[in-house]
Amino acid sequence: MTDKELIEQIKNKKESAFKELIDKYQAMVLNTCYSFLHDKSNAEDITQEVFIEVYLSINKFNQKAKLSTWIYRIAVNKSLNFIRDNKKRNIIKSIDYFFTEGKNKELQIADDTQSGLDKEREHKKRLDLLHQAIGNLKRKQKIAFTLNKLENQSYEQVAEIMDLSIPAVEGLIHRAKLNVQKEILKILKKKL
Amino acid sequence: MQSCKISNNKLIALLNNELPAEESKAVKEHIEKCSRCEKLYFELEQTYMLISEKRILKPNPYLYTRIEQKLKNIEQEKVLRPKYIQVLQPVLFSFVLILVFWGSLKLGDTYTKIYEQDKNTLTYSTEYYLNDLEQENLELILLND
Repeated sequence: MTDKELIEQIKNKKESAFKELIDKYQAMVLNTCYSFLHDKSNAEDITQEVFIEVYLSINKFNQKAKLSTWIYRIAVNKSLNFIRDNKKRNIIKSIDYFFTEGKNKELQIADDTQSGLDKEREHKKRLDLLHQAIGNLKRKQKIAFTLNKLENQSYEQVAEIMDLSIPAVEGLIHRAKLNVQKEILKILKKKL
Repeated sequence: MQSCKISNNKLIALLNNELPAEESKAVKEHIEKCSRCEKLYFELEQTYMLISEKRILKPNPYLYTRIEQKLKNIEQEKVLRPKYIQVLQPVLFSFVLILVFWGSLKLGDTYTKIYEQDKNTLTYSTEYYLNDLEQENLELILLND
C-alpha cells in the first residue's frame, strides 16, 4: 500500500491501515527518538506518542509533504519537548542526588581510579560527554546535527524536515560541529 | 608554528578532513610538537568518532497493542468528558470565583455605609484621667488633718 492510500484509509478509521503504517515507520521513529534521547525506554514511550499524534491529526496532514517527513517532524518535536520537560525533573533529581547519593558516588569514583577504568566504562564516559555536548546545542543546531550525523540524513532531507534551505542547514551543521568541539574541549581541558 | 588556540579551533575540521592542505599540515605540525594539543586531539577523536557508532534499536513487538490501548483510553475519556464539559468547567469555575470576589466587595461596601450612617448618630462617653476627677484629693485631706 502506498503512503497516500494509507493516509486515506486511516482517515476512514481503518485499523489495519494504521497497523501497516506503524509497521512501516516504527523503526525509523524509534531510532530518531533514540538519537535525541539516548535512552531506550524513553524513546519507546515517545514513539507511542508520535503514532498517537499521527493518528489523531491525520486530517491536518498536508498531502504536499512526504508522510515520512511529517512523521520525522512529529518525532523530533516530541523528543525535544520531552528533553525540555525532563530538564525540570532533573533539577529536582540533582538536588536530591546532592543530598543523598553524592557522597557515595565520590567514593565510587575514587575506587575506580585506583583499580583502573575498564574500556567499557571509558567508552560510556566518552559517549556521555558527546551526548552532553550535543545536548547543549541550540534547538535548530541540535536538530540539524542529530538528523545529519546520528540519523545519517542528507542535507536535502534535513532541509525538508526542518523546512529550511540547504545552505541554512549547512550553516547550522557547521556551527553545531564547532560548538560540539568547543564543548568537548572545554571539559577535556579541565581533566588534562 | 601555530598557537594552541588556533589549532584547537581547527581540530574538528581536521578530523572531518575539511581543512585545506596547508592549514591541515600546519595543525598537524603543531599537534606533533605540542603534547597537550596531541592529547586533546586524541581524546576529541576518540569521543567524536562515537557519532558514527550507531546503535540500531529493534522496535517493541507490542507497540501497536499499546498504541491501540492508549487510543481507546483517549476515546473513552472523550465520551466521559465531552468537549463542552471541558470548556464549560473552567468557565463555570471562573464565574464562581468572580461572583465570590464581587460578593465580598459588596458585603464590605454595605458595612462601610452602615458605619458612615451610625457615625452621625453615635454619642460618645467622656473619659477622664484620675487626676482630673472632680473629687477631693486624698493627700490634701490628710495634710489638712
